[in-house]
Amino acid sequence: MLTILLLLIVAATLIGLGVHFIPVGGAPAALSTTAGIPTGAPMITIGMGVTGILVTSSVIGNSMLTVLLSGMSASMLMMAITMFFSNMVHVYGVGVNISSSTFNEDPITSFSQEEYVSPGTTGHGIPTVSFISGLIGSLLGGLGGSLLYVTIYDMLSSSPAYVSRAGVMAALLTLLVFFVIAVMSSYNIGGTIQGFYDKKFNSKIKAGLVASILTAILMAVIYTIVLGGLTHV
Amino acid sequence: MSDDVIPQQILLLAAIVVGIISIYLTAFPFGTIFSVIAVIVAVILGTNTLRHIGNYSLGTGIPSIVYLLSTCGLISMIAAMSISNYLSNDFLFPLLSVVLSIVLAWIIALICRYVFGIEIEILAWSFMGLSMASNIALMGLSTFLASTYNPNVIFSNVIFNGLILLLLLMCVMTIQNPYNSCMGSNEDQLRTLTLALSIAFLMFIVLSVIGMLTDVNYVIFLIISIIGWILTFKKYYDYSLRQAAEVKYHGFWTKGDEGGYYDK
Amino acid sequence: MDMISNLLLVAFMGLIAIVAGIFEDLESDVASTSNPNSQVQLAPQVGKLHKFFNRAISGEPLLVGCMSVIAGSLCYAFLSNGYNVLFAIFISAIIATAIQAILSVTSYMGRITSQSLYNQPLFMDMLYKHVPVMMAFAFVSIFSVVLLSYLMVYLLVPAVNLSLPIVTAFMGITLGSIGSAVGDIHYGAEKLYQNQEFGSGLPVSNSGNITRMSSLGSNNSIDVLHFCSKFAGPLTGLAFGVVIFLSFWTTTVFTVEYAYIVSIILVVLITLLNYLLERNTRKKYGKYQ
Repeated sequence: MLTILLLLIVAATLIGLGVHFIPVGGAPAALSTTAGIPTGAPMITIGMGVTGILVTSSVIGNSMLTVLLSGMSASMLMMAITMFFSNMVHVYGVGVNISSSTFNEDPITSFSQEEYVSPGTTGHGIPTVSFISGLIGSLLGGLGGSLLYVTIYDMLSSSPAYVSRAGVMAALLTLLVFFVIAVMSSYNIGGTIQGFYDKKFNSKIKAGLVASILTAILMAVIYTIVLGGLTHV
Repeated sequence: MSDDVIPQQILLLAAIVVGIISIYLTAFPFGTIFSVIAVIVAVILGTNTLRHIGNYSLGTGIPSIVYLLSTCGLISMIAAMSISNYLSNDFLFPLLSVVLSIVLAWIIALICRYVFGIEIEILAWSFMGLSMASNIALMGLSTFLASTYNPNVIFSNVIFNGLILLLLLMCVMTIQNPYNSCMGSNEDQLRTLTLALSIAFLMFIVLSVIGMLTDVNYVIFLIISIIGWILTFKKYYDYSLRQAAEVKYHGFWTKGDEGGYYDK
Repeated sequence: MDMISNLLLVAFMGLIAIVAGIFEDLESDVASTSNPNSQVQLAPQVGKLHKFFNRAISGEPLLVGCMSVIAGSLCYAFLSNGYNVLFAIFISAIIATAIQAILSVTSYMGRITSQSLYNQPLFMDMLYKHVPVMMAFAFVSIFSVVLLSYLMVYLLVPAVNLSLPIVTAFMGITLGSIGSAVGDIHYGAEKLYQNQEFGSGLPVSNSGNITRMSSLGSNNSIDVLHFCSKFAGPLTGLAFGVVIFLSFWTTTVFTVEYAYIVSIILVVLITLLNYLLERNTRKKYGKYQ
C-alpha cells in the first residue's frame, strides 16, 4: 500500500512540474500580442495528458518501462505537432517573426530577439528555447500521467472482480488528477510564461513545486483510500 | 454585477437541506423525481457562488475554477462510495460525500492562500460552496440514472461504463455556462439563475433519452424536462429582450458609436 | 494481412480526424468561440459597436469535449440496446448539435444583454443567419469525432482499453485544445484586425479596435468563416489528423517495444523543422521596420 501511495505522489508531482515548463500565452497570444501557445495552461496540459492516456491504454499489458515510454512519447508528439502548426499559422497567416522579448538572445539558436518584436507587443509564436521547454513539460507530464495510469491499473487488475473494468477506472482517475493539478499550477503561473529560460520561471517554480507536492499528497491519500476500498472485497 | 435579489445564505441553506434530503429520498419508488430537485437546488447554489468569486481575476478563465472544484466534488463522491462500500453502510454515503467535498475544497483553498499568496477573502467560502454544489449535483445526476443512492448500483450503472465523465462535464457546463455567458456590467441575478435552470433541464433531456432506452418509464422525465426547458427558456428570452439596450431585427446600431463606421 | 487492414484503418482514422479538425475550427470561427472572442467582447467598451457573433459558452476544449461526450454517451446507449451503428452515430450527433445550437443562442443573448451599458444592440437577424451555419459545421465535427472513437474502441485490433463515452470525451478535449492553439490565431490576429498593416503584430493599445466594416456593409462572422477556411481551418485539421495518425501508426507498423523510439525520432524531426521555419522567416521577413 505504501509503494502505491509513493508512486501516486511521484506521478502527480511530475504532472505539476510539467505544467510549469509549458510556454503558455493565453488569450493575448491568439492575437500575436505575446509569445507562447495561444490557449490557457490547463487546456493544453489536459489535451496533452489525454493523448498520453489514450496511447498508454492501448499498449497496456507490456512491460512497465515500455508502457511508460509510450505514454510519454505520445504526449511529446502531440505537443510538438501543436506547437509547430501554431508557429506555421503565425508565420504564414499573420506574417510575423517568431520571437519573444522576455529574453535578449535565444540560448540554443543564438538569435537576437528584440529587433524582431513589433513595438507594443511582447513577442509572437514559440521560439526554439520555449519549444524545447514545452517538450520537457510534455515529457514530465506524459511520464506522470502514464505512471499514474499504470499504478492504478495494476492495483485494480490484481483483484479478480475488476479485471475488465480496470482500464476505464484508471483512465478516469488519471484524468481527474490532470484536471486538479493543471488548474492549480495555472493559478500559480498567473497568465503567461515562456518556459524555463523566462525570468518569471525562477520566481514561480519554488511555490509551484511546494504546491504540486502538497496537492499530490492530498490526491494520493484519497486515491489510496478509494483503491483500498474497491479492492477490499 | 447587480445586487442579489435572493440572498446567498438562503440558497446555501436550501441547497444543503433540500439537496441532501432529496438524495436520501431517491431510494423510494418514484424517487427519481427527487434527483431532479437536488440537481436544481445545487446548480442554483453553484451559479450564485460563481457570480461572487467570478468577479476576481484568478489568472485563468471562469470555467477552470468550476472544473477544478467539480473534480473535487467527483473525487469525494467516489471516495465516499468506496468508504461506505468498505463499511457496508449505504446510509453513510451522501452525507460523507458532502463532508469530504467541503474538506477537500478547504485544503485546496488553504494551498492557494498560503503557498500562492492569493489574497481573496471569500476564496475559501466560495471554493467550499462550489465544491459542495457540484458534489450534490453529481450525486443527483448519478441517482437519476441509477434510481437509488446505493453505491454498488451507482458503481456498476454509472462509473464502470464511463458515463460518469458525461455527468462530470454536464455538471461543469451547467454550473459555469450561465455566469460565463451572462458576464458583464449589466449582469442580473434573476436572468442568470433562469438560464441556469434552463440549462439544467436541457441536460436532463439528454439523460432522459439515455434512460429511456433501458426503462420506458423515463418518458415521464423526458416530458417534464422538455416542459421545464420551454418555460425557463421563454422566461430567459423575455428577460433578455427587456434588459437589452436595443433590440434590432435588421440594420445597424443607431446610437452610442464613436468615430463613425469607417475607421482605421 | 492483419497489419494491412489495421494500417488502412489507421489511415482512415487520420482522414476522419482531418475532417473533424477542419470543421471544428471553422465552427469556432463562425460562432466566435475561443480566445479571440475576448476582443469582440472588448469592442463595445471602447466605443466600437459591431455585428459579430459573440458566444462565450466556455473554453473550446470544454465545449467540444462536452458535446462529444454527450454524443458518445447517447451512441453508447443506442449501441448497447442493439441499434444499427450508423443510425446510432447519426442520431446522437443530431441531438448533440441541437444542444450546442441552443447553448449558442442563449450565450449570444446573454453576453450582448449584459453589455447594454455601452448601447450594444441585440441583433436578432444575427441569430437567424449564423446559427444554421454553425449547426451544419458542428454536426460534421461531432459526427466525425464519434465515428473516430467508434473505430478506436470497436474495430482497431490492439483496441483501446476504454469505453466509448470516455474515448469521445478524450478526443473532444484533444481536438478542442488543438483547435484553440492552432486555428484561432488566424481569426484573432489577422481577420479581426484587417485595418492593421499585415505583419505588424497587435500592439496592446489597439485592443478592441476591430474591423467592423467590409467592402459592402458590416463585417459579420460569415466573412470570418470565408477568410479562415482558406488557411487556418485546413491547418488545424491537418494538425489533429497528424496527431491521431502518428500516435497509432507507430504502434501498428513497428512493434510496441520500438514504437516509442520512432515517436521520439519524429519529435526531434519536428523540432528541426521548427528551427528551419524560424530561421527562414527571419531571413525572409527581416527586422521590424
